[in-house]
Amino acid sequence: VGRLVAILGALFATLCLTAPMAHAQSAFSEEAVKAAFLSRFASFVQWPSSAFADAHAPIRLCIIGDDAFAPTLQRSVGGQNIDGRGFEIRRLPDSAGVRDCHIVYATGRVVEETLRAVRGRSILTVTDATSGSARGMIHFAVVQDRVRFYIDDAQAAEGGLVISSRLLALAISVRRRA
Amino acid sequence: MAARLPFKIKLGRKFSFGAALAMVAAGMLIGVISEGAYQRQQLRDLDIQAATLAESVAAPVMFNDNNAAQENAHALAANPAMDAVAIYGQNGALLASYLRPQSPPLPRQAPMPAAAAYRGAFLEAAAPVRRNGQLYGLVYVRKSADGLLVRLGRYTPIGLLVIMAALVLGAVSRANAELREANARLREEMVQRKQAEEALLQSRKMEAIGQLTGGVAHDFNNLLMVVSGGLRLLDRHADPARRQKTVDAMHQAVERGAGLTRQLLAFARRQPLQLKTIDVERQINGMRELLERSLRADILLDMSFPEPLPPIKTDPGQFELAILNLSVNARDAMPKGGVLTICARHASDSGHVEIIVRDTGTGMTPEVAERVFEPYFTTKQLGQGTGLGLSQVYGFVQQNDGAVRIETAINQGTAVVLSLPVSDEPLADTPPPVTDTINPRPADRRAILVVEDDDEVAGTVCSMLEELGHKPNRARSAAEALDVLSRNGPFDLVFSDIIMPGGKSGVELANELETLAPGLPVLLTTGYSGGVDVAVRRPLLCKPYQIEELRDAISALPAG
Repeated sequence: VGRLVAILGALFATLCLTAPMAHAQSAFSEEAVKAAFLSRFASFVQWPSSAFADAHAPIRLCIIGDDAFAPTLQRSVGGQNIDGRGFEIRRLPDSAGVRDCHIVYATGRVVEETLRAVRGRSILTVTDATSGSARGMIHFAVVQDRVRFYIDDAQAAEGGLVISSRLLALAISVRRRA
Repeated sequence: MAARLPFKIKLGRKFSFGAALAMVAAGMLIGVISEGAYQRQQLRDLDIQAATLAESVAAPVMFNDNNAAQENAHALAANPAMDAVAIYGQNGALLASYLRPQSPPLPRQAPMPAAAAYRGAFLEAAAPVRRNGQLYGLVYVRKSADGLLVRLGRYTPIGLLVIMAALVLGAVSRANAELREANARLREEMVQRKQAEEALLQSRKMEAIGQLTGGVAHDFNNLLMVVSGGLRLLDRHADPARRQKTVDAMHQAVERGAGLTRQLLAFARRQPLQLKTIDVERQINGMRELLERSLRADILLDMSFPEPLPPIKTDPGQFELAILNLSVNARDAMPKGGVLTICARHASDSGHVEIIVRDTGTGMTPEVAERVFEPYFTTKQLGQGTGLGLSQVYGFVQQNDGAVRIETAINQGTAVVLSLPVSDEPLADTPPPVTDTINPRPADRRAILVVEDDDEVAGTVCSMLEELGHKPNRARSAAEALDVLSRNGPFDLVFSDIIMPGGKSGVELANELETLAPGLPVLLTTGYSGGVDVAVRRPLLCKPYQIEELRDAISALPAG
């Protein structure tokens, strides 16, 4: 009986040790996935030509709030090139200067302020469910351990952005433009 | 022609076989070419399907949306030919897949992008998933290739058409060859038939000759009788007048024999004779001997030419053969004896000479009369007639622009009327028929009644009897003999030929005399072996006989 208890105890201990490790790996993946998604959104979004200085001007991807995210994003973007445009990643402490961005990923307490600052502009706003209920044009959410997103096409329309129907098709739900 | 024909047929068959083979080969070639084109089209289609799938799953792959990827995979799998669909992500992980039941498993790792190709029973293609030059994943599609039966089924219509065409070609050329063969056979049969007809015609002649032979033998025996009797008389006599008379009789007998032989030869000759202008009366009279010998003794031959006839132009041999054929038919139509009448008249309105051969025989039904001119039609028993007799007559009148008709009824006899056109040309020179008689000389010791239809024989016999010191008296027939007996009697002996024309035979005469004049001895004679058995009860002297034999036979009989 004592040996059986010992084996069961060892099994339990193993489970307790491995579960947090698996969660940690998943959390890491989630961040990497979101980083990858951010750059990939660019290929399904069309900005008005006025949003760029010229045909080769880079897409400015700004991160407001989660500073730790920037290196991951940097790795993910790499030398990516969309229609002749590269990526330029900016880390912003607050919503000041956010009007020069093409994509803004806002997390934490600055989300609502940022959204207010870029409202009606041709800037793709990305928010995260972990930062509250305020939603940008794209709003990350984890569903069944997978990173998914909502899309607010009405907001995008206000900013003069066109989101590809292929991306819309992948959204959890879409708030249609008028 | 016949020797070359089989080669032609063989060539035709070879040709048609080659053509059919070429047609089948062409059909197979068309099948192979279109099968190749079909397979290339299938590969192109699969490439396009893979590329389309890669394009449409770009977003799901980029955003790790397995459900959306799966939907795309299922959409493609709606095609029943699609065997497997797999969508791999950036790191080669399988995002979505579709696998038809009982299909081989999917590649575990994402394969390398590759254009569509056949692998075993499948076609497969792998296309990269790209967006803005960036590789995000890969799609793999697999389709089941058509099975052998499906592929064969695709070419069944063309195959059937080719086979049908080949069969039709084969059938047509085969029918052609058969037609040629049948044609060759027909020609051969025509030649054979012609040969058979010629052979039959010849055998008809030979048969007629055979029928003549008995009579001719009788005739020749009579002639020999005259000659041998005459020779014997010459030995015994020095009287120049009697010797001269005997020599004349012998000379005539020999000439008659020669004429008979000539006539037989002309009749038996194979080739038709030349056309000649002839006098019908003279020609038929010249046949008298021949006709009498071919008829039986119980048939009386009656020839009558009441008016002079214009000449006709014809082949005398064929003419005589026609008359002979009609006479033989008439004879056979009178099994109990009767009268055969041959007469001729000039039908001046139509410019024809009509020769009528009439018998008093059984006649014919209209049905038989309608068919008698058909070749090989015969009412005679097997072996007795060829059925060519009247067809010869028909052919003869046709060749001479003439006509023939039959007047007959059952038991009313038959008359066959030949109409032959009158000729303008003068008569050809023909030797006149030989006719003469020797008169008997008055006798001294026995009064003997000689009953003999043949004049020469009668003459010789009478001379021999006179030489033996008898007094011969001649009658030409049994009826005449009875008449002579009742008027010019009495006689010491009756010496009678057995076979005589005009009804009664020598045997019948002897039987009658047994009651009419009992005790009157009767000596019979014949040169015709057929009658011997009938007369076996009575004294008989066979022709030809010598004068000593005659003397002995007479002296063996009691004086009347």
